[in-house]
Parts: sequence; structure tokens; C-alpha cells
Amino acid sequence: MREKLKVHAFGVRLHDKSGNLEDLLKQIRSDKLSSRVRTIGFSDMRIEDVAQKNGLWFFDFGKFREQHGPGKASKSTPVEGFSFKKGEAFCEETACLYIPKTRHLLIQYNHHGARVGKIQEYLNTYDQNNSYTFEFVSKYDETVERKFRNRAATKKIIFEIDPRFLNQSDRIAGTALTHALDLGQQSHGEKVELVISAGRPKNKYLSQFIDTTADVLKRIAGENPDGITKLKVGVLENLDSRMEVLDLIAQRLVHEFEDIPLGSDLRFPKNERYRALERAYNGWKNVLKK
Amino acid sequence: MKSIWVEKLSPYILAIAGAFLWWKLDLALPSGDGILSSSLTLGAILTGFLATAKAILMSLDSPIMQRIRGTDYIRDLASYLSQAIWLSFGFCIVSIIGFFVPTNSTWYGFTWIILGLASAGAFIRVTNIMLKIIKHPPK
Repeated sequence: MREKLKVHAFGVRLHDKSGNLEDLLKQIRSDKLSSRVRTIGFSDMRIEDVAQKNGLWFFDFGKFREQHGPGKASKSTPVEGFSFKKGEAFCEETACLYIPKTRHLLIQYNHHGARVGKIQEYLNTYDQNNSYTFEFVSKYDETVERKFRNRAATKKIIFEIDPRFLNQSDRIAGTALTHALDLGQQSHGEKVELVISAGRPKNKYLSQFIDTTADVLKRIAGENPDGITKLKVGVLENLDSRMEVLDLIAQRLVHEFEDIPLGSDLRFPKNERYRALERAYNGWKNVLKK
Repeated sequence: MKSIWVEKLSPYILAIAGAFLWWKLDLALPSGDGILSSSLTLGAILTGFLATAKAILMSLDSPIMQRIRGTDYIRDLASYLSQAIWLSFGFCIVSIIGFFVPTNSTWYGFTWIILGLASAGAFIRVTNIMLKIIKHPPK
């Protein structure tokens, strides 16, 4: 089975006094590879490559993965590790495409690599003088986006999240293994779905607090698609109109490619990933108009 | 105190509490070989059971086990298993030594009760965790 390559679209918002992303990319391109490394969260990452083509900016992130990684094996030979030179580690790649004309950013989705939140942090902190402040906002189908933004009130929120399986942060927090196992057990390892509804009466709406929750969930779903697997919001366009349910996950702009060939080193080659981004952009040209 | 430390120290807390009671109540092992051979049997059964449990647990490939392997919990789990095995094995050795030395002395009684309770505590801990892992639904 061919592996899928997903591409998500984001709008780039520049804060007041922020410089342009293309200037920052030029600056990064002129820096040495080793001086492009920044520590974001717990891991080091950098922009590996910056390329400009027909007014489009392509760049590729590398995120160092210093934890344990896979080995290599075939059906007739046992697993063996890769041999690393001193200072080497696994590095996860994420390709991006910036369209300066309409200020949109397309990002390849690599679960282990740099994702939108980290990419935003990297670009915002790259320059020591804080000259750049960007915000990447997930791009939705324009009509859905507009309806969600202009909603007069919220009547219903349905969302589904992955249950709390134990993870490394439990261990760091010092939770006993017995307890950590119990926490996962309580959720029975299935999906947790939550419905908050204001009921049928015409003049009842969800409170402002829940309404803000919808915005927060939408943002989190944009940053971590695996975390929130379902998010539907029932909104009213006017206070006396009928409820309309907006699916904020399905309406998200995403392209899935199944025909990206793997290289002989079992990675998606950089040029193929750039090409996929460009294909996604071509497909979205009419959607991503300003 | 973080719950992981309670979990890590619990068998030894149990052993020290038992030893304290042993000393307070001025207990001694009953004379005769009966108690020694039964504690030897108990220790041997626990050691054998744990060795098997270790093999099962380590070859288990359920999602929860993969999760545990992906975190530092795997080190804790391996350490709990090894503690349980070596404590039970040590308990067997002490029981064998009892055949050669006078068992009514204070130091022997102390060693016997501490190792006995610590291995019981370690066994309970690892069995408890194993049952929880087995109860987790497979994918």
C-alpha cells in the first residue's frame, strides 16, 4: 500500500510591525546550516532548504529526533540499527510552501516532524530582534469559515477526542504505572465523544464560555489533527434562524496524495514533496484567493 | 510524595514495617525445619511464576504494551519484575541457609521476615500491573 501524503492549508496573519515572511526566508537562506538550528519545545529543528520558484517560496523543515527510532530489516534478515556518526540523529522532514501574493502557507503533514505550532514558533523566534510575528490559521472552506465566524449564537458542539492513554508526560509527572494504566482503563481505550447542546427551545443558546470553547477546539484541531477526530458546531446565522451544523474537520482544506513515490532510502524525496505542495496549490488556486 | 515513589518503595516499606513489628513483638522462627521447607517452596513457586510472567509480558504486543515500551515506564516495569524475581530467589537462598545455622537468632529472623515481606510486596505489585495490562482491550 502506498503511503499517503497530506497537505494542509493555512492563512498567514502578520501582526502589526512584523516583517514579511519572504524576507525572513531570505535571511534564513543566507545563514549557515548549523546556525539555523533553534530549540523549540524539547527538540532542535531548522530549515534545511529554501527555494524560490515563480514567486512561490518552498522550504523544508528538519526536526531532529534524538529519541529511539526504527531499525532496518528484511523478511530474511534480522533487524539492525542504522549506523550514525557522532552528532547524527534521525531527522524528520516537513515541506512548506508560502504564497506571498495571498499570504497562504501550505504545510505537509508529518506526524513526527515539525507541525504547524512548532513551525510558527520557529519562525517567530528565529530572528533575535523579534522582528517577525506570524500567526498561522487553519484554512477552511470559505462558506463554512464565514458561517462559523459570523455566527450569532452557538446551539450545539459535538467533538470527539482520543482517550488518555498513558504517555511519557505521565512518567515525567511521576504517576505510578498502576495509576497510569487505570487512567487509560477508565476510558476503555475507545473514543470519547462529547455533545454539549442547548436543547430545542428557540431562545436558548450555549453560554459565552462554551462558545469560546468552539474557537479553542477549532484551533487545537488545526494544530493536531490526530487529537481531535471530530468537531461539529451547530450555529445560528441570526438569532431567529434555523440551526445549521458545520463540520469543522471535514471542511478543513486538506489534500491527500497517494501517488508520491518513495525514494530508494524509503523517504519521500524533497522534490516530490515540493511538487505535491505545488499541485495542492494549483488545486486550491481559486479557493485561496484573498 | 509522587505516586511513582510510593509504587517504587512499597515492598520495602512493607518489609520494614513487618520487621519493626517482629522486633516490637519479640518474635522468633518456630523451631524445626517445617517452616523453612515451606518458605523455600513458596519462594521457589514465586520465582518460577515470575520468570514465566516476565516472558509473557515482554512478548505481549498489545497497544498498551506498545505505549509502555514507548515511554520510560518500560524501565520501571522491567525493574519491578527483576526486583520481584531476585527478592523471591533471595528468600529461597535464606531458607536454605536456615538449614545450616540456628534459626532462633535475631539476625536470621530479621533477614527472613524482611526478604519474605519484600518479595511478597514486589510480587503483588508486578501481578497487579500485569493484570491491568491484560485487562486493556486489544486493538
